[in-house]
Amino acid sequence: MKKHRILIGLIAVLSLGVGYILSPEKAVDERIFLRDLAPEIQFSEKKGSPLLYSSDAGIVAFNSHDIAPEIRGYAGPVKLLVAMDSSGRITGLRILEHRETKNYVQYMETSQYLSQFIGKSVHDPIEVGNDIDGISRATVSVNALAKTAGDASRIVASQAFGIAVQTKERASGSAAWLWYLLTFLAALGSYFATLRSKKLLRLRDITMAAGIVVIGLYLSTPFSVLHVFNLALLRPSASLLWYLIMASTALSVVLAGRFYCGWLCPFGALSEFIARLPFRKWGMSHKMDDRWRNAKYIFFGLAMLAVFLGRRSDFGNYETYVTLFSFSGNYLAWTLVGLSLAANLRVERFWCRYLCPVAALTGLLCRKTVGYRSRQDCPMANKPDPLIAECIRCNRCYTGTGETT
Amino acid sequence: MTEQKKFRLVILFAVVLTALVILQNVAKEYFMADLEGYLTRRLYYERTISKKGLSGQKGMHWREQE
Repeated sequence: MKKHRILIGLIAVLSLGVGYILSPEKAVDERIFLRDLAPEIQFSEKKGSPLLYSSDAGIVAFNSHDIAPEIRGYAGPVKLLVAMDSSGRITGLRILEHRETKNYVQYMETSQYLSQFIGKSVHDPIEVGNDIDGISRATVSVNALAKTAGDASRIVASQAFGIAVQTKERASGSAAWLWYLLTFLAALGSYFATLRSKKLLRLRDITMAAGIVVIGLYLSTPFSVLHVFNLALLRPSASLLWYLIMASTALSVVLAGRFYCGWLCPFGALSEFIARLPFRKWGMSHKMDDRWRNAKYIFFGLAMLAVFLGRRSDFGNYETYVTLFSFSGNYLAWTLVGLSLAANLRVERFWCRYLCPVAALTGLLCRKTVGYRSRQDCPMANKPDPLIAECIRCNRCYTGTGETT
Repeated sequence: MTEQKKFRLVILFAVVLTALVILQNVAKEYFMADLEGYLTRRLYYERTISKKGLSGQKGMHWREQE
């Protein structure tokens, strides 16, 4: 495991450094989008304060990031090119650039969705849930999009056309973070309770089911390595939920190793419930099992290399839970989801054991703990005295001497 | 077929799929946009321009007309 840690650490540091030099952030050619936005209008060069493209027709266009750079989505700003007439009405809108996870925002990018901004005045609320439709599973992203379009337009209308606009602070009504926090605390409490009493082991089934329902289906935010990649690329989120997921997972790794995998991960829970169906499992040698378990570290390293060299977090998007719980992915990704779930009928926790990048990451970071011996009904089919990086802390085999060494 | 062989087949398939998903993520950014553009132009040439007995360059006139 020490060798794995050194190798993955080296890949991370080197690829981050090389990627920073070789793949600088490219500026988007706004002129191409401008021609698409209003083909019949000739715009001037971008100038003035605020920075605008102006035209004889009285229409101005602007990059929202020049006007309101502080608004961020789940993984950074959503940059828009907006055209507006002198009465403060939006006449065109295109997304220039964003770093949100593609699976969640495919509908947000369509002209059908963006068309609802056309004709909106700066006096309108331009607010999700009010005059803009929300998109389930992409709440933070569409909120950022609407807030960016509204706030930037109001600033331009006020400063360029002298239109008096009222800006009202909107209360953030999302309780997503609270749901996540409650689920996490309940699972962590149950974990420590089962360390003391084996009679409470059923609690784990309840928290796994809660993981599927709350984290998977309702919030659609399972912990993903994309969170870590975005953080390493210095693209933190504006979402409180994002920080909570990161902080709680980091805390759980320190306290209980791969606790997240065993108690909260919705895909892991689904895999385990499928594996409990009465199908005889395939027998295989420990040697073969150990060899293939290394595949998850190899793929995690490769994904990290691609992400850091290209400075694009979506290069590392191969996680089955992202595809499954965003309900979005291409045919390759869906085939992988189907195979990973079906394989659990014959091989326990197939994805977690052999391919999961979160398993690789949390496995690399967890501290050595004694007391886990493995046993016949281990949900990971671990061999006796397993590597602690392969233990998901279900506590079935915990012997009661859990001092960290 | 032994269970070990069945497992090996399944894991190999999963490994290949995972590699393809990552490769596709990267290729989509660097190659597929160019490839898609080339295929669109090539298909247009094969279906429309070449039937009119025109070269690709002269065919641009017809593309604008259509």
